[in-house]
Amino acid sequence: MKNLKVIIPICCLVFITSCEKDNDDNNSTTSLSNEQIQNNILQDFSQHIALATYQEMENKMNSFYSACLSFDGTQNQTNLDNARNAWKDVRGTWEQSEAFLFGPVSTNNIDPSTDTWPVDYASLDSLLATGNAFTQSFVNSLGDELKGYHPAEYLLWGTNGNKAPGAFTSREREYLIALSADLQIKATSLRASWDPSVVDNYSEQIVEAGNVNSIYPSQKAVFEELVNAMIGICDEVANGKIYDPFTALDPSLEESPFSQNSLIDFKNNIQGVKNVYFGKYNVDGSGLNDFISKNNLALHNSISTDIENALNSFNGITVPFGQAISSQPTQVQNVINQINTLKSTLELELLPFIQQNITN
Amino acid sequence: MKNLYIVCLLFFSSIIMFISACRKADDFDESMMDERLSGGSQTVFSEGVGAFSAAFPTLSGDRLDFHDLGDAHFEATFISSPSPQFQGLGSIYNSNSCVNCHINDGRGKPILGNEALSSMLFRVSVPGVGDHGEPLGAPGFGGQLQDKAIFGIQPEAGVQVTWNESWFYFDNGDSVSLRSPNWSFVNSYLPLSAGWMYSARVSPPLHGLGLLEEIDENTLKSFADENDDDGDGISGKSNLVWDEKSKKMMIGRFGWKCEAPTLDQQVAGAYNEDMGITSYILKRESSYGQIQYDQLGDEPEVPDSIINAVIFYVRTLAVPARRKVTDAMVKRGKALFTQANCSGCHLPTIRTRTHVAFPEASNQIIHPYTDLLLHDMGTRLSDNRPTYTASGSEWRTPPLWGIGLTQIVNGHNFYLHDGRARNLMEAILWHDGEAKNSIDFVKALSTSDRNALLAFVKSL
Repeated sequence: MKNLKVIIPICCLVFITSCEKDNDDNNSTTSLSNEQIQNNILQDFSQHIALATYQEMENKMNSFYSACLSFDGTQNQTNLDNARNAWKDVRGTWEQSEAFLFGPVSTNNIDPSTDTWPVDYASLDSLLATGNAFTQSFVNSLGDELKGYHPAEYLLWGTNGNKAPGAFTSREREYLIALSADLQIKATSLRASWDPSVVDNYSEQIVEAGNVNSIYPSQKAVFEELVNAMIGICDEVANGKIYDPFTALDPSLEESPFSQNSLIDFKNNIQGVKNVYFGKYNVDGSGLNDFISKNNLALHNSISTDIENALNSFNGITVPFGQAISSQPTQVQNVINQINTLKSTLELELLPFIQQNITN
Repeated sequence: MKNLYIVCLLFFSSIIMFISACRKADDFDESMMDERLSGGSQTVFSEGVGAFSAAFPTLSGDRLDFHDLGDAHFEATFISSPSPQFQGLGSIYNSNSCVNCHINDGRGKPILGNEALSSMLFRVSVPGVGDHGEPLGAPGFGGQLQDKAIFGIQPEAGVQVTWNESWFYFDNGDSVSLRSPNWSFVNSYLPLSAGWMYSARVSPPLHGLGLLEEIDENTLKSFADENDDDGDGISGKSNLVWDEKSKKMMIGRFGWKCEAPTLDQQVAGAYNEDMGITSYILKRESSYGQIQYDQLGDEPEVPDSIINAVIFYVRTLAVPARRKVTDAMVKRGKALFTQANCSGCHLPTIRTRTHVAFPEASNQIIHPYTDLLLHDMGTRLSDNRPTYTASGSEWRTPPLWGIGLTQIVNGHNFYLHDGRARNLMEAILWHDGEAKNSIDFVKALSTSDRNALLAFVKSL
C-alpha cells in the first residue's frame, strides 16, 4: 500500500495541474482584477480617447472656420498664417484619431468625405470660375475629391506652398469658408456620435460590449477592434503613405504636399497608436498598457519600446518629406522599418495575446 | 501482483483522467465539419469593422502583396482627366472609388429622400434584348443610370424616393410595418425613354466571392429544379449571361440577378459603369454615343496590372466565422431555419471545385447560405425588368454568411436589393413566391421562436 500512497497524490496532482493555464503574471502591479481593468479600459477609451479627441477636433475646427472668416475679412500675412496654423492644428488631431478608424467615422463615410486625396485641381479651378454660390450644403453635395482637408490645403498654400495673401481671389476665399464650414459640421457630427449625452452614441456600444444592446458580442471583440485599428494605421503609414511616394520617387504621391505637413501627419498617426495603447490623451486613463503590463510585462516593454522607436525615427528626417524620399532615403527607410516593427509586435504578439486573455 | 494490478489500474485511470480533464464538450456536428468555418480554410475570426476586409488567411508572399496592391487601388479616388494621378473618372459616373460604395467591403444603403445616391445605383433598360440576350439599354442612357458627372458635364438624371408603409400581421396578432419605395427620376438630361424600366440596387458585400466563383457549374446545375420536379414549391434556375472576356454564354453567379458570370466581369463592369473607367475587359466608355462622351481615346484608362490586382483583391477576401454556434437560442433558430425550408435556397453547405491554380479556394467546404440560383420572390419584390432569363420577380439567393455583422461593419441594417428592409425580420417577411410556404411557417411562429430564428441569422 505504500505504493498506493505515493501514486494517489501523483494522480491527483496530474489531474489538477492538467488544466492549469500558463500564467505569466509574475509582475502584478495592480490590485485590480483583469475584468475590472477591461471595464476601465473600455470606459476610458470611449471617453478620454475617442470622445476627447473628437471634442478637441471639433473645437479646433471651429477655430479653423473662424480663422478662414478672419482672413476673408482682412487678407494680410498674419491672418493667412493664423488660418494655415489652424489647419495644421486640427489636422494633427484628426491624424491622431486615425488610430481608431471604426464606428461612425467609418460607417458614416466621414473619413473619405473629409480626407480624400488627390485633389481634383482641374475641376476645382473650373468650379471657381463658375457663378455657383459656395455654401456648406453646396460643398457637401460635391464629390469627395473636391471637399475636405486637402482642397482647403491647396487653396491655403497654393501649389508651391508660398501663396501670398493678396493672391487669393474672392471666389477662393468663399470656397475656403464653405469647405471649413463643411468640415466643421462633420467634426460636430463625429463628436456627437460618441457623446454619451446623445441618443444612440457609439460610446455605449463600447462600454456595453457583451450585453444584448451592444453590437459588440463581447469585450474581446472591442479589444480586437482597437488592436486591429492600431495595426491598420501602422500599415497604412508605413506601407502606403510613406512607401508609395518613396518607392516611386514621386513627390506627387505625397498626401499633404502643399503645406509640407506630411511628416507631421505620419507622426501623429503613430502618436494616435500611443494614445490608444496608454489610454492617455489629455487625461491619463486606463489603457491597454494596464492590462498588458499586469499580464505580460515583456510584451508591454516591447510595445513601449517599439512605439518610442517609431516616433523617434522621424527625427532622422530633416527636410520635407517630398525631398526626403530622394535626399534622405536611409532615414525614410528607417521610419518604414520602425513602424513595421511596431506593426509586427501588435499583429503577431499583442493581437493573439488579447484574443487568448481577454475574458467576457 | 495485487499491488501491481492496483498500480497499473491507477496509472491507466490517471492517464484517462489526464486526457479527459482537458477535453471540451462535443459542440460541433458529428459530420466533423466545424460550422463556424463559414469560408472553410479561408475563414477569419473577426467580428469588428474589418470583418469583411481580411485577406484569405492562407495567402502569403507575392500573392498577398498582389492582394495588398489591389486593396490600395480599391481605395484609390479617381479624378477627371487630365491629372497626374488616378485620372479617367467619368465623364458620367456613380462613384469615384470602389470603396465609396463598398464601405469596409460591405453592404450599401438606400437613400431615404432626395439626397444624392451614395452606395446604390439603378439599372435601366427598355423592352427588348441586346445581341446576347442582355437587357436593351435605354436610348441615351445605356444600361445604368449615372447620376453624377465631372465638372461641366450633365449627369443623366437624379433619383428621389418616398416610402409607403403597410402592415404585416403574424398569426399571434403581432405586427410589423414594411416599407416599399416609390422611386422617381429628376433633372434628366433627356426625356426618359418610352418603355423605361429600372431596377434599384444597393452595393452587395464582397467577402467570400472568390469562393463562390469556385463552385463548379455542375454543382450549381445540380441545385436547379426549374420545373419543381420535387414538388416542394421551390424551383430555382440559373441565369445564362454573356461573358465579355471569353466571348461566350456562361452561368451567371454575381449581381442581384446573377447577371455577371465572373469576378473579372463584375469588377470591370463596376469600373466601367460605376466610375466611367475603361479597362482591357470593357474598353468602351459607358457614355459612348451620348453627348457626355469625352472622345479622349485614352482607353484603357486603368492599367491591366491594376485592374487585375483589384480583381484578385476581391477574389481573395476572407469570410468571417460564425459566432455563438453553441448558444441554445441560436441552435433553436437553426432548427427553425431548416423546418421553414429557408435552407431550400439558402443552402448551408457547398463544396468548391478542385482548382490547382487557385489552391486557397480549391476543394473547400463552405457555408455560404446560398444556391446562387434565381428564384421567384413574388410580385411585391418584382422590378418588372427582365435580365437575360431572369424575370422581374426572380432574384438571386444572396449569400447570408456574415450578414449578422452588417451593423458593425456598415452601421446600418438595410437589406434586400433596394435596401427597403430596415432589419432582418422585415427582409424575411418580404419573401414571397417560391418562399410562400416558408413565410407562412414564420408567420405562425411564436415571438420567442421568431427571436430564435433571428438569433440564428445574426450568428451567420
